[in-house]
Amino acid sequence: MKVYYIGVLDNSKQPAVVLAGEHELSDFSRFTRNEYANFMTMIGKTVAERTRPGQRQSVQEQDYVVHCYARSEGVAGVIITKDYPNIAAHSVLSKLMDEFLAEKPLASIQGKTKDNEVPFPKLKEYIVKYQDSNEASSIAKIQQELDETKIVLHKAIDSVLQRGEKLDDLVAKSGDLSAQSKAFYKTAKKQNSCCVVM
Amino acid sequence: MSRALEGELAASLKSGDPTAAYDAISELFAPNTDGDLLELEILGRSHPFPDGCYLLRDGCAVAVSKLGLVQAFLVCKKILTAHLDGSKPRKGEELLAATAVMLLMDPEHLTAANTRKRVLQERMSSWSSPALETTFKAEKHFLDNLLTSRLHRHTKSPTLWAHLQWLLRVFVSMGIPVDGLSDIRKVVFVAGERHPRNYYAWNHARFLIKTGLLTPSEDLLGLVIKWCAGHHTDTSGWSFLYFLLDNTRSSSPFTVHRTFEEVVTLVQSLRLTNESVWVFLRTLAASPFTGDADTSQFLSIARSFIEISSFSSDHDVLRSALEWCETYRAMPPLADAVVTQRNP
Repeated sequence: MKVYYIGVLDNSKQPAVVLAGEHELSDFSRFTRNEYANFMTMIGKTVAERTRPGQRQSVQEQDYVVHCYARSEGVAGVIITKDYPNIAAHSVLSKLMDEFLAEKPLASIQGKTKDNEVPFPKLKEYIVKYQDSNEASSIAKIQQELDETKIVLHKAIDSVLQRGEKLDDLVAKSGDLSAQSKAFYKTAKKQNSCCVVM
Repeated sequence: MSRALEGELAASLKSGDPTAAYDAISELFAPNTDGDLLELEILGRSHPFPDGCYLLRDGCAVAVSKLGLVQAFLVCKKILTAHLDGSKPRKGEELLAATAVMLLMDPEHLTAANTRKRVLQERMSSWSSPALETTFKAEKHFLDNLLTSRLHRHTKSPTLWAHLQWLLRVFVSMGIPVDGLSDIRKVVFVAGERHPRNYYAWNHARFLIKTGLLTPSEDLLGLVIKWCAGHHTDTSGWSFLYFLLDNTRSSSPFTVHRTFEEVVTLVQSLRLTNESVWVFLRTLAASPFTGDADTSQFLSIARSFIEISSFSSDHDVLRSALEWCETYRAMPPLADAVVTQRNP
């Protein structure tokens, strides 16, 4: 169970703006970590922009899942995970968004136009704490009222995109990705996917 | 990293200096018995290297240029072929250097692995014990580097894992101590994470137990349960946990019940419905060393999950687990069944 990214975004804008975000990419090799970090930021924004206020989504893409909880205030929490039960991911997002909105008045965050301009050190604690399956288990138990059936599930990111949009096109156009990241995305897609019988 | 050679790479093979590539890359594997393990990766066309540069290093993290590695491999292949056909015999050190690079490029290169075995075996007849211990520990360090790096094919390479087991048998024959618990934590757990559902890594764990290089214990069980909880979709980890329970139950009857309780708590709180954990639970619930109360609890949980889950794929997993447990719990243990057949 891994948490790769936790972020809070202003998804009332297009493109979405990352208010605060943390990555945990020790799973990835040293010389490709930057590419994965950039890609996760980009994919987090993509999903947040396409999550309506009050909606919850979990979108599978290759080995990881992008979970998003959009609050009616125009702010969304995004968590990108691997082998992390949806109920636990959304429980973390519920807690995160409650804390963030309790601490940060809307007026202080709505005018942000650049990424990572809202200091929120608790994100670092979240991404460390919720790597642990026991912590994930505890928070899922606490948030028992969370209705799993309300989470919209997607088996691929293309299904949250509009008709005619493809992830490959969004990657090619993205201002969040360097030329190297875009080149790496093409080669990383072709990695063997084996041992998936169960 | 795929072994396949993209068109651009194939066209670039003749440029540059393959011998320089070989010299640089083989230096990585200079004999080493201690120090941190390297975190190796191979980078292809998405990360072009400057001319004449074959490695990038940042502490223990090392990136090897795929182009450089292929060029070095071609140099090594000539060295090994000339040695094996007798046209140009090489000393042990040269063979170890060349075969190390070959195995970095192709972990299933059995000739390279067996050449290393022959070099080490030849040393056994002429080297002193301290020097032999050093050389064999260096071989272990080399293997651990390949098995724990972010090299998708190496972490689950049957050739490399078999070579490690051959090496540990040599350790035993020479009286060199083996730290089985360290192998589990630093090699099996890491390789199992790098390459999920890693049969060969977990088979190595079973090898350590069966050969007595690792004693089943409560501490080991705790570590494995924690690993499985953190990798709950990994059927290979769960299979090893079952194997471990089967090997510890006689010394600690409550272990099975405690493990069952711990896994069931995790499954209920996280609402896990993946096949890996449910295959583990149904096997444990049906086994003769699980108490009736735990088996009943399993059946009850499976039924309640079927009622609350909305997904047909979950229902398939859960129903299959339920039926399997009900079928095999009712059967006598295999040994008794064989005796019954012989003596109807």
